[in-house]
Amino acid sequence: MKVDVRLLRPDDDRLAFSSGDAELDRFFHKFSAQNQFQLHIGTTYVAVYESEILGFVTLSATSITIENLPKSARKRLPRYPLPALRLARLAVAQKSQGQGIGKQLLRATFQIAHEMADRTGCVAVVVDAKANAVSFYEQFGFEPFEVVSGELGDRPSPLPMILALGSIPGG
Amino acid sequence: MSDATQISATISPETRDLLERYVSIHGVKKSHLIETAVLHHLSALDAIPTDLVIPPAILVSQTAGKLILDRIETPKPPTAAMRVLYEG
Repeated sequence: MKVDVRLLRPDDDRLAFSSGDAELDRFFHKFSAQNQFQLHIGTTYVAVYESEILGFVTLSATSITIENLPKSARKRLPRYPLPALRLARLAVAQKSQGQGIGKQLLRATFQIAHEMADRTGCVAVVVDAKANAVSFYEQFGFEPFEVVSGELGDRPSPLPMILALGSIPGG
Repeated sequence: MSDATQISATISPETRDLLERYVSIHGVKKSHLIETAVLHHLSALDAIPTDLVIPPAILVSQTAGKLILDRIETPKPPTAAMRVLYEG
C-alpha cells in the first residue's frame, strides 16, 4: 500500500488512530499536536491513505556528546556535539500493520535526515527502539549503543540504536 | 518581563559551544537565547508528562562514542533491506 507521508495538521483526526500500543496511542492522541504546534520540541509526520491516518513518526533534532572525548579527537570533527536526527516514536495502525507503512515512514525519515544534513548538519539517525521493533531497525543497519543520559522516559525502556547517514542512500 | 536579574551557571563546554555558535550565526543576544530556551523547556515540562518529553541531547560513553565515530568516518554499505527500501 502506497501512502502519502506529510506533516501532522492541527485538524487531523488523531483519535481515530489505534496502533494497539497504549503508550504510543496516548502520545499521538494527546501530545503530538502540542509537541508540534505549541512547544516545537518534536515534529510528527503522518502516513495517510484516502484521508485516514495509518501511521505516524515523531522526529526531533538532537545532538550527541561523547563522555570525556579528548580535545585532539574533538578537533578532528567538523561539528561537535554531533548533530543527529532522533526518531523518537513510530507506530502503524493495527489494521494496517505488515503492509510496509512503517518502512515508508522510515524512508521519509531518512529523506528528512539528508535534508537536515544539507541545511544544519546531521551525521546519523538515532532511534529509540521498542523491544519488539529492534529487529525491524537492525535489518536497515541500525546498531545498539550505550547512552549515559538523554534516553526517552518510556517504560519499558527503549533500546537506543544508531545508523550513520553515510549508510543511507540519497546523500 | 520585570527587571532583569543575573544568574550564574556551570555548563558543559559542548553546550557553551552550541550557544556561541547559535548566537554567532543568528545574531541574537545570549541572554535572550538562554531565557527563551529555559522558558520553552519549563513550558514543555509543565505541558507534557515527563515520560513523553524527548530529551534534546544524548550523552554516550567513550565506547559508544568510538563506535559512532567509526561508523561516521567509515559508514557500512547499505544493507540488503535498505537497498530494497530504495528500489521500491
